[in-house]
Amino acid sequence: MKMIKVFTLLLIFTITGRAYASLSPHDYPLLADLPKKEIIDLTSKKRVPQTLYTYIDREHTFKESLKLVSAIYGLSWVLYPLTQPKTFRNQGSFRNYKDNFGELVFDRDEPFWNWIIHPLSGSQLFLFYRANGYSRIESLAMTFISSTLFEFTIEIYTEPASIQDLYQTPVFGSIIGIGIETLSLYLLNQGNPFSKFFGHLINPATLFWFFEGKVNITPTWDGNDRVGLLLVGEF
Amino acid sequence: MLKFLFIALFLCSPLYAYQNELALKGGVGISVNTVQGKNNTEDTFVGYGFNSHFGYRLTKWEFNISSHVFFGKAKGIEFEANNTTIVGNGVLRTVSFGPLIKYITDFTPAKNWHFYVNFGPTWSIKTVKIEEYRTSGGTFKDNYKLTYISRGGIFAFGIEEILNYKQEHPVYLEFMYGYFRAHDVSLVDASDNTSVQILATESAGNDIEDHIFMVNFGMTIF
Repeated sequence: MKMIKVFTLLLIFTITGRAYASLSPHDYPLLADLPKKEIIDLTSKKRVPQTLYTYIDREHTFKESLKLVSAIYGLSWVLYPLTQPKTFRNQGSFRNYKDNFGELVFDRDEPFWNWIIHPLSGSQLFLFYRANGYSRIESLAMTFISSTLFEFTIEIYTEPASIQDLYQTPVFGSIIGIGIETLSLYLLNQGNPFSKFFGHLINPATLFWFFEGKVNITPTWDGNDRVGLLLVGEF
Repeated sequence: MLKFLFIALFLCSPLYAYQNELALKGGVGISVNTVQGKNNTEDTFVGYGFNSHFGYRLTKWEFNISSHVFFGKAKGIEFEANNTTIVGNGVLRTVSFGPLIKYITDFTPAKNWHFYVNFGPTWSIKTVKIEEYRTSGGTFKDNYKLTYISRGGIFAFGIEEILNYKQEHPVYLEFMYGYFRAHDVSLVDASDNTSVQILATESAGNDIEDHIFMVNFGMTIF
């Protein structure tokens, strides 16, 4: 009888925890509001994950935000020539940098670049800030700052800043980012290595030390009638 | 008159909604476009598109950076670029950006739905990919495309749900009118899609004008 009680309580924690995983803190319903069938489901044959992946929104100091924006900015200087060596070599020069400084134009790039590649890179920036504890709208604002810095002070080495990229990278990137965030949380919280692999693959920021939403779940039992769940996360 | 005022006052209610917050909204729409090309050529066609708005909401005022994208297919329009006259059918893609100001009124045609107006200047790029054409003058190839840089404005009115929290994803429905007039036209070689080449850019004169009526439907995403 005692074992059934323990099992039921563990199941409640596991299932409710999984339900919370995809919600922002503002959305958390009261436990009593959850449908009963969702709480007590003894027939569930789902694998119980040992780690709960979620997003925890918190406040940030100006210094902390500045540090993160600087880190992304520095990384962009390294990644830009590495990811586009041909463009960097053939079209890049400090003379171009000087000429393009302060210029803002409509680019004539194909939709593949403006609507797929740039928003995809924007989505990863968005997920980087989400992993660092920024809310969705704050992550969008931070992505806006980072991509604007990239457009006006890095990409001008090869071409002038583009109006489409300035807007579409953060805005469309965040919309795609939400989709990736939701799908990756679903996959990561399935508990099997296959899903976990793809969860990390589409949302690599969840793999790094700065990801604040990784919570280890350890069930506890005092041997008598008291059970609990130890949730350990690093912030 | 008194009856009208009474009804208007009855329908008025104060706004209780999220305020002093940033928000991102987005949605889809259906458009009716009228494109005017060279030599009085003109076509009206139905298109589709999407819109997004990122901005800050005070209590009743909202300041957004907005984008509208619409697609469609025009027939029998005459274009001119780099001393080449091209007459044909083409796929048109317009992407516009602009700072839009929105004012949410107290007028509520239905519970929680407030009437609003939205307006502002826009800058846009229209890409014309011509599929079937005949040319006179210079050269024009299948992989070439025309791009027009236009200036214009947008005026929209509609209704939006005013809810306490943006996490409830308030919805909006609006009717929009947009006017765009091209000032620059470029002939672009898009045969290498990794690096397009601008072959020529010149003043578009009065080459191309757009009138767009659009019905947009969307929601606050976060």
